[in-house]
Parts: sequence; C-alpha cells; structure tokens
Amino acid sequence: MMAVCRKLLFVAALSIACLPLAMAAVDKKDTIKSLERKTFEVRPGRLIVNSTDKARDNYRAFLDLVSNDPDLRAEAMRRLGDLELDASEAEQLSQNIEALDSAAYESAVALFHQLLETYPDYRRNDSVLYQLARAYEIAGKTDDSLRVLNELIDRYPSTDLLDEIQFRRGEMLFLRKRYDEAEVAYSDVVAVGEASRFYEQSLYKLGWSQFKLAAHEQSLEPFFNLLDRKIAHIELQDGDARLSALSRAERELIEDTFRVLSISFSYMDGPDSISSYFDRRGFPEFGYIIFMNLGDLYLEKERFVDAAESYEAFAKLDPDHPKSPLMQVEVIEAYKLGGFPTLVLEAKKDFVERYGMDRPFWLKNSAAQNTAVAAHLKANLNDLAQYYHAEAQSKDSRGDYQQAALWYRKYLDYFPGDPDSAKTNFLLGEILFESDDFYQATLEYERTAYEYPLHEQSSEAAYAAILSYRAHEKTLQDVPKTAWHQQYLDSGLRFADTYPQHPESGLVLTTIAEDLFVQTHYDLAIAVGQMVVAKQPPVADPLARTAWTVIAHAQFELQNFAEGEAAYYQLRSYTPADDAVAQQEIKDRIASSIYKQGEIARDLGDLEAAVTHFTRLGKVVPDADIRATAEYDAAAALISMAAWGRATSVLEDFRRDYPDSEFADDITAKLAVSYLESGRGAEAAAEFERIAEVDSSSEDIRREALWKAAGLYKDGIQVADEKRVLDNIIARYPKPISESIEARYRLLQIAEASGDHQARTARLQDMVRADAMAGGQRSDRTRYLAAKASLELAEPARRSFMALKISQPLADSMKLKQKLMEDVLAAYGAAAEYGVAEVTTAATFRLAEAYKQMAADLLDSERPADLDAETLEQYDLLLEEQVYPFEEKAIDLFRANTDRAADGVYDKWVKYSFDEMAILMPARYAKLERSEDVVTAIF
Amino acid sequence: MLLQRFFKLEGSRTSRCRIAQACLCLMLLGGCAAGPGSRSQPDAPIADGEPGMAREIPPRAMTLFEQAVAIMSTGDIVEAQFRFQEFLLQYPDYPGAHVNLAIIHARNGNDRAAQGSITDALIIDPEHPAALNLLGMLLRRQGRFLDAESAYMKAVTANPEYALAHYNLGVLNELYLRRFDVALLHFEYYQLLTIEDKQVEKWITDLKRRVQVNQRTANVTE
Repeated sequence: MMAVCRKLLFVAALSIACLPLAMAAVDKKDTIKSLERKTFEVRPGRLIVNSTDKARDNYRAFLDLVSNDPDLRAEAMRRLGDLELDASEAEQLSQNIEALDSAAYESAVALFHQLLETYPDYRRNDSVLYQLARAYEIAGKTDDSLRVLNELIDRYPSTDLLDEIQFRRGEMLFLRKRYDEAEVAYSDVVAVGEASRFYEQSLYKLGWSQFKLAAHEQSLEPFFNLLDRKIAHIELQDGDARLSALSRAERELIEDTFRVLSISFSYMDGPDSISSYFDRRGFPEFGYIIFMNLGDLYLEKERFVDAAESYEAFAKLDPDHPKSPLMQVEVIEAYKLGGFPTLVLEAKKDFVERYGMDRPFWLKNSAAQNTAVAAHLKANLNDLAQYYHAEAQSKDSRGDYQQAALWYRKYLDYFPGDPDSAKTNFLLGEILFESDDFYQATLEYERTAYEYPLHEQSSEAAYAAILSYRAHEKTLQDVPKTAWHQQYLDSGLRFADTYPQHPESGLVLTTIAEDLFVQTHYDLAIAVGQMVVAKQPPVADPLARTAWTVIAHAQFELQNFAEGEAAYYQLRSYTPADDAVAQQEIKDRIASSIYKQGEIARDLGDLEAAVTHFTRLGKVVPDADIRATAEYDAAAALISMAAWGRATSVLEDFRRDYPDSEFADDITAKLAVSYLESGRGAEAAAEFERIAEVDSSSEDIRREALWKAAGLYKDGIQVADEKRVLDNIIARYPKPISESIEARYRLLQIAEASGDHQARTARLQDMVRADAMAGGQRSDRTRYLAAKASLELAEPARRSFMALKISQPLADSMKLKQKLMEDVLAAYGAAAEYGVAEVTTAATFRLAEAYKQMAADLLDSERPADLDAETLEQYDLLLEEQVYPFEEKAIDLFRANTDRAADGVYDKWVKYSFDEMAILMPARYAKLERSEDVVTAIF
Repeated sequence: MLLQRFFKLEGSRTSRCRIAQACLCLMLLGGCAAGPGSRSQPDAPIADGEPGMAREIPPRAMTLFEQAVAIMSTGDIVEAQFRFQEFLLQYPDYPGAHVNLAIIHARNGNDRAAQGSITDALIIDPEHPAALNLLGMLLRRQGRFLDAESAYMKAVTANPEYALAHYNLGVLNELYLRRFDVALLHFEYYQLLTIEDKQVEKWITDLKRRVQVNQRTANVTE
C-alpha cells in the first residue's frame, strides 16, 4: 500500500514539474497583466513531498533557458508564488513525509541492499532496485537514486517498468541538464508508445530535451505528436478560448508546446520552416495556430515584419481557410505596430484582393459565420479609400484619385445595402468630383442622394450633384451639352423637390429659374421662380431678388404685362434703395409693362382701359422715359374715342410737361383736332397756326393748316386773327394762285365789312394785280375775281362822272366831264375785257349808263347866260345833235346786254338793260307779259 | 293729239281752220315745246269732257268762290287773298282759287308764293291754262326762258284759244329768245283770238319787217 502510494506521488510530482513550462506558454493575446486575473486549479491528492521545490527548480531551469526577458521572469516569479500559495495540500503532505521516521527509510535501504545482495537473481530485483531508487529519492539522495535506476536499466533492459524507469531517469537527467541522456531516456519511453502512461509526458520532455540540445528540427516531431494527440480531434475556438475544450493542465501543456514550437521555428527559418515541415508531415488542422503563434512571438520581440510574414505565410498557404482572413488582419496589425504604412497599405490591399465579397473565400465560407471578415473587409476598404482620398487631396495625384474611387466602388459593390454605403457612395462622388471626373461624380452623387433611404448626406449629395452637373457641363459642347444641361435642370428640380429644407435648395431653384430664363423657357422659369419665393421659411433676400427678377422678366417676355408689373413691384422691395442702376431698370420695366398693357388694350379695342394704363404710367413712374409716349398714346386713344374734352386736357398737360418732346408737333395736330371737335374753334385755329410753323410738316400741310386756321377764325368772327393768317398765307404761299387769290378775296370781304375804303381799294387792286401776274396759273376764278374787283375799282370813277354836272365855263367842265368819262370807259372797258359774263353785263350796263348819262348831262348842261331865245334854240338843236351819238351808243350797249338773254344770260344787269331799253325804245322793248286779272272759273 | 284738240275747235268759230293751220306752224317752229307737251298730255281728256263738267260743285263753295272773285275784281286783293285762303281751307280741290291766289302773290311781288299756289293748282289740273300762263311769266322773270316757253305751250296746247299765253309767247320769243318769226306767229294768233289790239298790230308789222330783214341777211349769208 505504501509503495503504491509513493508511486502515485512520484507521478504527480512529475506532472507538477511540467507546470512551469506550461505556464511559460504565453497566450498570443495575453499580456502579463492578464495573468493576474487567472486562477489555477490544484487538484488535491496529486502532489507529493518536495514537489513544490522541484517544480520551482524545474521552472527556474526553464527560465534560465528561455530568455532574459524580464516580463517572462516576472511571470515566472508569479507562477512560482501561485504554486506556493496553491500548494497548501502539498505542504501538508510534505509535512507528513517530514514526519516519517527517517530511520525507517534507512532501514528500507539497508533492507533493499540486503535483499539485492542476498538475492542477486531475484526475479523481481528490478522492482527492488526501483524501490531502492525511490527510497533514495524520498530520502533526498537523488544521485543515489539515479545511480540505482541506471543500474536497473543496465541489468534489466527489458523490465516491465522500463517506461517508468526511463521516464524517471529522464526527469533526473533533465534536471541535471544532461539533456542528451535525458533525450535517450525519453526516447525509450516514447518508443513504448501510447501504451505507456508516460507517453505524452515523454513526448513533451523529449521535445524539450532536443530543444535544449538545439536540435530544433528534431524537437518538432515529439511536440507535434503531442499536439496531434491532444488537440487534433477537438474543436478549436478563437482567441483566448481556443483550448477551452481542454483541462487547464492540458491547456497549459499545449500552450507551452505552442510556445516552444514558436521559439524553435524562430530559431529556424520562421514561417518557411513551418511550411516545409508541414509539407513533409502534412498540414494539421491547427496549423494556422502555429503560424499565428510564431507571428505573435515575433510581435513580442518587436520583429514586426517577421511577425507579419508569419501571419501572411498561412494566408498565402491557404487563403480560403476560415482563419486566413484574420491572419491577414494580423499581418496588417503587425505592420501597423511596426510603423510600416506602405506595408500596411499593401496588406490591406491583399486583404481586399483575397476577401472581397466576389472572391472564392466566400464560396467556401458562409457569410453568416464570417461577419468579422466582412467587417474587416469594410474597414480595409474604407481605410484604403480614405488613404488614397487623403493622398489625392494632398498630392493631387490622378492615380490616387483613381485608387480612392476604385476602393469606394469596391465597397459599394460588396456592400450595396450597408448602412454605410450611402456615406461611402457620397465619398465616391466626392473623390470623383475632386479628380475632375464630373460625369461620374454626378452619377454617384445622384445615386447617393436618391437611391438610398434618407441618410445624413442625402441632401448634401443631391446638392453636390447639382454642382457636379455644372462642372461637367463646362467640358461639353453642342448637343451633348444641351442634353446634359436638361438633365442638370431636372436634377436641380428634383433636389429642390426632394430636399426643400436644404439650405441651398433656394439657391439651386433660383439658379435653375435663371437658367430656364436664359433658355427662354419662360413658363418654366416663372414656375420655378414662384417656388423660390414661396419657400418657407423664406429664402434670403438676394435669392428672392433674383427669383423675382426671373419671374418679372419672364412674364414680361411672355407679354403677361400685368403679371410682370406685379412681379416688378415685388422685385423692387428686394432691391436696395441705393442700387440706383437696378432701381432704374425696375422702374423702366414697370413703365414698359404698364405701357404694353395699354398697347394691348388698345389693340383689343378697349380704349378706355388703354387710356387708364397710359395715364397711370406717369403716376406710377413719374420719371419714366416712356411716360411722354404713354401720355401721348393716351391722348391718341382719347381722340379715337372722340373723348375730345379729356383728350384736350391730356394734350395740354403733355405740352406743358414736355415742351421739347419729339411729339410736340403731333401734339399740336392732335390738339387742333381736339379743339376743333370740342367746338373750341379759336384754340383750334391757334394750333393750326402752330402746325403751319412746324418744320417737319410739308409745305402743303403748313399751307392747309393756315387755311384751316383762317377758316376757324372766320367762323369765330375773329377778324383780326383771320386777317393776319390770310396775310400770312399770301406772303408765304403766293402760289398756287388758285388758293392765294381766295385769301385775297376773303381779305377784300373783310375790308368791305370793316368799311375801310382805302383798305378795300387796296385789296381790289391787289386782286387785279394778282390775276395779272398769275401767268400760267391764271384761271376762270382769278379772272372772275379780278373782273369783279376791276368792276368795283371802277365805281369811284363812275360816281364822280355821274355826279359831275356840266356847267359854265363849258370848256373846263366838259374837259373834266370828258376826262371822267374816259376814266369810266377805261375802267369798265378793262372790266369787260376779262370776259366774265356777270362782269361783262355789269360793265356793259355801266358803259351804256355812262353814255346815257353823258347825253343827259349834255342836254341838262348849263346854258350860256347871254343867249337870246333864237340862239338858245339853235344851241339846243346843236346839243341834241351832239347828244344823239351818246344815246345811240347807250342803246347799242343796253341792247348788247338784252341780246345776251337769248344766250341764257339774264342777270340783274341784263334785266336793268331791258328796263333801260323799254325807256329808250319803248315801241320795241316796253312789252310786258300779261296775265288774267282774276280767274272766274272755279275749275 | 294737239291736232285733235285743234280739230275739236272746228265749227265753233269761222276761223277755226286758219287757226289750226297757224298752230301747226307754231308747233313746227317751236319745236322743242311740242315734244314735252305731247308727252304730258293725258290720253282721255275727250272722254272726260270739259273740266268740272262731270262734277257737282257745292253751292256754298260756288258762292264763296264767286264772292272772292268779285272782291278780287274790285282790286281789294288783300281781302281777296284772305277769302281765297279761307275758301281753300274748306275746298282745297278747286284750282281756280289757287290760281287767283297765285295772281295776288305775283301782283304783290311774291313770286315764290305765287309759284307755290300755281303748283297746287296744277296738281289738281295740270292743264289749267291760266295757271300755266302765270307759271310761264314767273319762269321768265327767273331767266328760265325755255321753261317759260314750255309752260306757255302747255297752256295753249290745253286750250289753243287761250290768247294770253299766245301773247306772252310772242313777248318771250321776241325779247328774250329773239325768235322773231315765232313771236310773229303768236302775236298773230293772239290777234285772231282777241279783239284787234292796235299796239300788237304795230308789233306785228315791226316783226314782219325784222323777219324779212333777217331773212334777207340769211339769204345774203348763204
């Protein structure tokens, strides 16, 4: 019983001896700090006396071997402490052993020696030797113990206890750093195979022994054999929990093995050695851990490139292995830690190249189980894109821009529905825009804006698309440019419609409105402009101003002048008062709008409305250039309406307000007509006189105007004015004589009416003179008037002649009478010469009358006073003879007149002549018609 | 037609045949007057007989008319004018009254009113000789000599025995139309229709001489 108990303790001590090594294995993710949190389970009954000391020794030996790494040393110290603390049961056991009677051990030794000497061929001497060795060992005489064991092997190489004995030897030799011997001892145990209880421990210690002997390559075999046994058939987890399926002791054993393997490979050619070893041995399931551990080891030693290459070696070796992506992540991390940005970048690219969502990895590995890979893919894509984005921005390198775009595109290809896709898409748009690829930028911005659920940058992208549209358009020409521009406008409207709250939506709409206006799409320009001004909250004043400008101008262009006018009022409220140029332009446009309304109303025949517009223009825009024209047109419309009173009022105001207007002459003409139609003849006449002074009028018009003025003055009995105008006509327009002669005639009538004989005579003489000098323009009318005038001019001579009585002294009187008669004959002869019937009959009559008067005056002449009766009788007879020719002449002339009756001439002078002939020749001419005195028949 | 009228006169007087011949000459000489006269004559005066023959004149009308005529004959043309105007208010269809009013107006120098009354008379009886004669006088005063001739000719056509029209045609043709031969014929006809007028006889003599002179002058010219 005692022997069995001891044996168990011995095995337990061996097991404990392994612990320090296991503890030396550092989890790749652990730090020293993390060890503080760990607890180690110590199973009771598994420890023996002094095992703690041994464990300490072993551990210290291991520490000496490993390195001078202070961290590891510290860890070792702690683990040592743990051991001491956790070994309370062992302490108790130790105390029990101490309490054993040492004399008993010595007795046993003596007994065994005695046994051996006594029974050298005892079949169980191998067991005796074994017990002896045990006794020495318990007594602390390990050298003796080893010596006994050596003897035992020598004498009983085939003993059933071989594996245990060799194992114990190995342990003792290992402690004594006699690794070559230990290796042999352990090898013997391993050779026994799995049947040995000490197989796994021996594999472990064999590896270690070879490791100590720097036989790294050889050490791999036992280590990997151990690993195959322990973890080849369990499911490995990730990270710290990768060995959670094992007990703590096993876990620590495996981790320790991993650790020493990593060290071995690090002493060899690193990952290449792993690969070549696996080529020979076959690739184990846990192979990736070997690469990872090696990488971790390098990382601890800050051999970052080596670490990365280690990680990557696996990824290259089996890129589609579920662990490969994470290995590649480690590659990236290693480079990152090492401060190798270029290598980081390449590693990230490699990652994307290998684990992009279109790569074979995803055919072999489910997405659901590899969300971390996808997350890394996203992160790397982002990193790459942003790196090149930043590079592009700082260096303005085309290649960088393309790279950035490439990575953004990959992201979007791989994760189209990802929450971050919209953001990435926006960034793609940004990079394309920054690289001047405005076309693609536009597409991406629009996609970002409109093809994702609403996101943080939706509206910003929509706005960016607008800007990009504009930028790209600058690179286009002709038809493509036009088509692109239409798309731009559509996009702009879509933006404003989709994101009305965007701070730039007002600006975009305004720009579009302007654009549409420039393209003469006035209806659309108005509609968009209205959208701008209708926005709530209202857009900034400058935008409102622009929008109203578009609306107003477009309405104007569409000839919606009323709407245009209203819009201009709105525009004015947004235009700074001190912007004189703009204010003036608005005023001009308002004025034009009003004027055009007037024109349209006029064209439609609504003259009253036209007048309203034309007249209000001046009230709304008092200083409008077009005001004069409008008021002129108002007057014209009023004239067309025959609203003479209103027309004259407007015209008078016009003349007062625009004395130098280009329409002044026409105003005069219109005023003339208006006054005329209003019955204000005198004022009309004055206007006609003005017309006669207008330079632009033709001579015919001027002359006609003067005549009109004269006629109006005549109608108004404004004789002085009429006379003045007529004199003006004669002075300015002596020709055509047919007209000027009428002026003379009218002046003659005026002179006659005025009773101014002198003037009348002058007018008569002028009339005669005008006809005489008329030349080719002489007419029946001029002749008639001249004839009439000459008739009148003869009247004074006739009266003088008629009034003069012949008296004594006869000679003088006769001479005078004769002279007067000659005058009369000459005057009436001249009148008769005109050949004007009416004047001829009158002149003929007067001539006849003169002859008759001469005869009568001769007969009635004063007789000489001194004649006697006879002489007087002779004198009278003589007189009668003298008188006879005058009477004959008179009769001839009167008859000449009466004879004209048969020709249809029967004026008063002919009648008078008939009367005279009835007296002078009663037998022939005193023949009056007869009617009945009374008619008695009732029927 | 005119000839028929002239023939109607045959038997009533011894000199009818001579008159008819004279008138025929007048028509040929007057020329222009014959056409319109023939056109304006109604076709049925014969059947109607003499004006008023078939009509019944109210006694009061006749009395009033005769009273007015009597007053007019006394030379009281003012009262006469009043009477005829009053008569016409009651009996507007008797041309005699209109003609007398025309005579009064003409005597007063109111030719326009006279012509109005004549027109009224002629509306009732377009062939009233006295009305037509007075119309001719008024037209002559206006110098409308041919119209005057036409009126006179209507009168003598209506009643070839209406001597005053022939007299006036003589004056018209001599003084105003200087158709001495025509004047001569009318004066001669007038003489046939009236008691011998010595003054007219002298005129006829003078005219004959002048016609002859003219004829000689014409012959010489030819």
